[in-house]
Amino acid sequence: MAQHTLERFDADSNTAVLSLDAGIYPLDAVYGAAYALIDRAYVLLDKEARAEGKGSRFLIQLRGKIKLDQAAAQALSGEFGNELLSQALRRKVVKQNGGLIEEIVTQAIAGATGASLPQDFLDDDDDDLDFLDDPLGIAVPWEEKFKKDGKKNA
Amino acid sequence: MTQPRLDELISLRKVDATFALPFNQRPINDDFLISNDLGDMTFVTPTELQKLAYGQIEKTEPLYTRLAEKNFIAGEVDVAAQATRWRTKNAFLFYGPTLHAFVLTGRCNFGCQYCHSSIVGMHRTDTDMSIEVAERAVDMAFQTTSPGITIEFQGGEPMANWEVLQHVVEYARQKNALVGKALTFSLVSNLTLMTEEKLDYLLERKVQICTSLDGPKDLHNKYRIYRDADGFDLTTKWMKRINERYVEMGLDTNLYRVEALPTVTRALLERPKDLVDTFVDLGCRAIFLRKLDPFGFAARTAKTLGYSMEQYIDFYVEAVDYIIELNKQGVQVMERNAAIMLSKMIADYEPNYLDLRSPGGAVIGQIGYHPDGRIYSSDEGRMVGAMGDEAFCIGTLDNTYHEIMTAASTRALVIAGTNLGQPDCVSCVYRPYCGQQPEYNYKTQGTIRGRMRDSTWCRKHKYIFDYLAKRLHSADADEMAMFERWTTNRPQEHFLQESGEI
Amino acid sequence: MATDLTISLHRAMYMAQAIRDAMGVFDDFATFSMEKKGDHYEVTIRDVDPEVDGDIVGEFSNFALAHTIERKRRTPK
Repeated sequence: MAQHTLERFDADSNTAVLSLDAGIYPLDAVYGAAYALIDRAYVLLDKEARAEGKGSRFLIQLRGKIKLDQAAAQALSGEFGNELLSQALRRKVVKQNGGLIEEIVTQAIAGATGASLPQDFLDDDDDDLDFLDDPLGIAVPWEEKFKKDGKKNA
Repeated sequence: MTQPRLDELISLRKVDATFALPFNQRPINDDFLISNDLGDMTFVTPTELQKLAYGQIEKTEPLYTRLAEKNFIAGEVDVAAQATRWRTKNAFLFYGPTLHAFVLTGRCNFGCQYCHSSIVGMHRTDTDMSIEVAERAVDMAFQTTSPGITIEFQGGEPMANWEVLQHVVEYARQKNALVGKALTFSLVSNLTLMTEEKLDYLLERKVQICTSLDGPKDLHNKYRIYRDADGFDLTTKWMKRINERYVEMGLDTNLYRVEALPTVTRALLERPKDLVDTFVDLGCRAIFLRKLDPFGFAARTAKTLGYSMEQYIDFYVEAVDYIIELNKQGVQVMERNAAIMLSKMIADYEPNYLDLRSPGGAVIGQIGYHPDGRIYSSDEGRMVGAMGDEAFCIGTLDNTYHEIMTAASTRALVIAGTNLGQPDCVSCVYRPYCGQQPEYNYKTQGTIRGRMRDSTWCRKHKYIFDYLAKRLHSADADEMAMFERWTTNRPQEHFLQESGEI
Repeated sequence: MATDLTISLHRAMYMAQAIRDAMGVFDDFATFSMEKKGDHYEVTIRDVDPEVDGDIVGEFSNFALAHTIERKRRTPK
């Protein structure tokens, strides 16, 4: 069931106003639905408190880029409702995609730079290391490595 | 046939968010097309969509099996297998640019009214790429982390700088004898400067040859102005000759033919069938219906040659409908946009077409090398530069490869070219198959981060995707077989330079 | 004499920086100023270039909305 209402359509100003209880859909879904109409309408979002502190509602003002009539305003309203549901449905099923974007971009850049290994790792000098060699001091007991001898603290 | 309204079909309160893998939907004919973030797609009825959203599909139902096989049911997804699949389809993320466009010269002997490349007259040898710049560009190209390199010769008319073209081929082959990358060369030429000797060289060196052909002779000659001879006759003469040579070399004629590309001008809009017939008569197996782009001369002549996206789409639909009819009559010909999109939609294959991938191909998929050593994000970025705007000049050959790849502008282009960063794309059913071009956004909307809802780029691709989705939805077995044939990927291995070969 | 145009954008729905971004897009064509008024940002548009044949208020409001959405979705929660 549609949750929003076509409040009014004013042919003179070529403007339809929709309203929606602010508690039903997250603002992000309203944004997504509004965005879907900006190729056909000039969109203005507003919010107003209901009387006696009973929550608030979103107002979505759609001024047609071409001449609208009542049927066209109704169609825009219907499309807004479809988009609202679609956005909210996806939002509900999906968690945020931001991490994925960052991962994709990071991999894109890292893959392209060719700098996947630290330079030290590429040096040939250590090729003939015996497994008993310990150039990084991994086998050194930490007490010895961090002893307070006043000369060495790391 | 009216679609039920989504907000009347699905109640948000009843949605079981744990059941489905994230998906998007779009009405197609009486049903809905759904796609998930892994790139699977299928058609469902409104009732089936509701059941998917509500998580009310029993395991015993055929619908459950069908949706599980397509990875729409979260509990049935084989994570390891899908991770491997994702990595395969997104392999381009793990290496650097493959396509290296060498602008060998700004000179051209044609005066195409819409020319994308902002060319100069044949006397302007000062616009030629020098041998020194060419070698440094090859050196840069070989630093790519990509296992494959395609060096594409462009112009102007690249054959006008024949000596440097040959030098690049020889120098790159020498380098590759040591490096062993999958190296190919591609020449984009009007073919009017071709001779038998030059053709011998190009065939000997396995240089792939592409040309431009704007359809019927009268239109071709009207918009691709050539004063020295009949441009159409000359270009098509060489197309036929090159195809003959491929036959003489024993190459599979289904795979090896001169690729010809039309540019759709306003006059061509009225004659889609003539265009297709011209290509078919010349033996072409593929037609790439390219819309006039907003770069170069095209930007300046848009008022006389341009048209709306809706006009282009009408043209496109008529042309592809006709191509499909020809296929039914046994003629093997395909449209390239459609083949690329169908590869992604039904063949689960990523052709790495740089304009339709995410992130887009700017810098990390391709680089454009200007004759004077400037480096651009792409061929389109170079065209913007030719119009006096250096927004897409990433650096010069004095920079290191690392500097180019990690430049702030490179990062900005990658981020701008990522679909998930676009409010509209996030929830678009075609997102797994689509991409965008920051250079196009910049020229048409003034910002590299385009606003897809207003963008003609989005409108064009969404229209074509919709057209294909509708055809797929109603396709019979023969049509499906035809579409699958269009997606068959047969690599042109002949054009690969042999490793170690000098 | 040209009349000033005003547009009120609710502060809960529009980001100030997004509005400034949108003002930047159009500042070749008009003079913009913005101030807080209660729950709204009030944007005043003056001296609109007579060459502008589009709907500058409508386009500006769409840009402000689009920039807001893009900015909000870019900002980690």
